[in-house]
Amino acid sequence: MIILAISNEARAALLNLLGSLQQNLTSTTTNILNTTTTATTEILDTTTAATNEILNTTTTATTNLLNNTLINLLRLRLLPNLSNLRNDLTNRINQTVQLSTEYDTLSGVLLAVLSDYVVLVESDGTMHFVNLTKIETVASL
Amino acid sequence: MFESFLEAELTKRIGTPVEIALSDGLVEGIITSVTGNLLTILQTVGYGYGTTTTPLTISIPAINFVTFSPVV
Repeated sequence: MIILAISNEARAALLNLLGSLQQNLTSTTTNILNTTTTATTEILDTTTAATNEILNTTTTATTNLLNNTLINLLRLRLLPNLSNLRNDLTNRINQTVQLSTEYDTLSGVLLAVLSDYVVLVESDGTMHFVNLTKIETVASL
Repeated sequence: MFESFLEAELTKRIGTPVEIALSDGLVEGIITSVTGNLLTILQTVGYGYGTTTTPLTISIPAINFVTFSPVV
């Protein structure tokens, strides 16, 4: 152990220096802590806002998709059972067919069979959308 | 190419001249709107100078067929 003899003035000066050093250290630490807290809060706020936006967009998109799917399902469920007629017509796609409805009989190439109607095209380019529920007879020509 | 449902396909063709066959007759006009299962056309009645147009709302399930004539 080394014992140094110092004067009272020198001891007071040393104590002062020690005190100011401690004060500086505390204020620097406080500053760093404050800056870190502000930065972290800012990052958290931005992340929360972005996440909320993504969640809202996803929720809206999913809700719309589900609603549309439900509407289409309900519509299909409410339609009379046309699967036999639709299957029969699907086998005649690209053939010349004759379809009769209560109003008139149509002839032409069967272009497409959709959920509730079929597309028939005549040789002159006239296109008919025939309601599946209104088809009475089908014949291939 | 074609929409799954007639209602959606007709919506795509708003502004197009059509002939619509119902069980008891044929109506002619231009598609103006499609709302749910209702189709509205601006019906053309008569020929030449005497032609008049009136809005006509048609129930889509009541349609026998819809005819689109080729553009000449």
